[in-house]
Amino acid sequence: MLEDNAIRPPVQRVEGLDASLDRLIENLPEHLFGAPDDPVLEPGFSRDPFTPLAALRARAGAVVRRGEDGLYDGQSIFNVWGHDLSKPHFVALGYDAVNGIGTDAARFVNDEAYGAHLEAQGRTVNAYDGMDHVLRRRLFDRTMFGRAAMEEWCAQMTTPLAEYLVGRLKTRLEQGEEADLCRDIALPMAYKCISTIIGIPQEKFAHFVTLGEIAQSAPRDMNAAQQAVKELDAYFASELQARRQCPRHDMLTILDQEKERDWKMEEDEIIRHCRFLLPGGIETTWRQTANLGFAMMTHPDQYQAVVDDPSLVDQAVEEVLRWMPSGFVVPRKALVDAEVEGVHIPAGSFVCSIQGVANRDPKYWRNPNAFDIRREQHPHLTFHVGRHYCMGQHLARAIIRTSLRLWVQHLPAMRLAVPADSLTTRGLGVRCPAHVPVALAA
Amino acid sequence: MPIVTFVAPDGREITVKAAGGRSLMEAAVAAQVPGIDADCGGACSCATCHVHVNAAWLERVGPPGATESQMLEFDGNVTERSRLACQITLTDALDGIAVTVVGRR
Repeated sequence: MLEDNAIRPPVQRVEGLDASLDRLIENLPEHLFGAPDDPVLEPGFSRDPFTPLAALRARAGAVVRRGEDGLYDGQSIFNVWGHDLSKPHFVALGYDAVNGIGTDAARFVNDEAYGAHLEAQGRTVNAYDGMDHVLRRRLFDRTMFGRAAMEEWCAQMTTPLAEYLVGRLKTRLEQGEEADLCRDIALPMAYKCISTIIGIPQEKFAHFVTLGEIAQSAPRDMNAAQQAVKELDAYFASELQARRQCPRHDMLTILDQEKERDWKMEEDEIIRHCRFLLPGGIETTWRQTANLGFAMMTHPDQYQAVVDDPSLVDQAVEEVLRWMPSGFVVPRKALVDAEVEGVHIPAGSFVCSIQGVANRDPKYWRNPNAFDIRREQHPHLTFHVGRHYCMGQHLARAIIRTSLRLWVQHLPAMRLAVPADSLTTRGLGVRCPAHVPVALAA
Repeated sequence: MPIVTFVAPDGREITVKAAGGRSLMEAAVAAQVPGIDADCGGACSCATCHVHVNAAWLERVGPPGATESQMLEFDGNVTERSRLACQITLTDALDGIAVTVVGRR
């Protein structure tokens, strides 16, 4: 509840949709694009984890334990979350296994599951269980990320922003310029939405995305991650003090003013959540929009089908989410001994649920590797399941659906500017193409 | 296929046919029943699908589970007929059920 003496202005229409944003987009450094763990993965696996992991599931089952040789029945899999590998470690690859682990909050918990991320970033809403989690989740859902709260944000933010960026893209393409759906749409959409919600200025776009990416890199470089965390903490601490003088409708003010039951978030936790949700909200959302561009542009016949019948937008988006999720792997820790799909998982084990592969389980999808917007729908696992179901799903869906709706409406002749087979998605922890170059069909 | 009637917060009655095995919440979302936000997607962790079950159906629906009761404590207007729609699985035994949507506070 808002305290009686608190004053917070309503959600404002998103600002800065002008040449200043255009300049920032043009100057985004190249290192921001692509999958962060691509450089540490075996190149073939990074390009296509689906084939080897489906083969692993077929020969070794839906849940596979890491052997003493460090391999999963002969298959090497990068330790995405930086887990302590002296503990038993498992990967879940089947739909029923991932669904079962995600919905079994009594046996599979988030506490300690985030490995190196937890060490670098401290506890955030992802790392709590039970009522500690419910309090925080309710606060975020009620004020910002739930469906009802998000409707207001989307009307003032997501739709005007998408209209501006698609208009800009159209102008460039009509002038015969090259454009890139990652640089010109996906990353600016996610950054502007998340930074508006959190309360970060537009002009530091590249700086904050860079810092956020480094803060998320703990499994690969703990020192760099801790430095980035420190810098972001100092920034948000100073911003929080400024909001107390001059409240705005943003996360800093909301978390500082709101209570859930009688519980109120402490100052250090407000700072921690702003710092966590900056990269946490951007990294998967922009890459999912990039995956939308990748899927639609490498399947021009299906893009044309949505152009011809825009009522297909929602089901096309769900198929993109199933077929090429950006968030690929979710961790849990076994609180007690458990058995999943016939595999014994001892208490204290870490489990990586690879939802990107479970989304292609042939038990639930015929010809699962095919991208087919007309296939029979079955709930995918991309936003995961259970109590820790992705908090940003409503924002992510709004961004992706609005993007596709505006593309087919304003850019029906948009096509890939390079051969389709020259374009790949990469990565394991989060997955995306580095670029999706587009042009207008002649 | 069970037939379900939702009474929306504005008093409108919405009657839908729902696939058996799905939850009451899923039937409401598919029919765009106002007041069923289902933020958590059916994970029993948000209490944004709070309904009052029509008295005639209470016994067949049964009481809320332990987690569900905890979540209901977060919502206003809780009565002995309160349930979370995501925790009610539609079966033929519930054909004809009527519930009132509590809606946003």
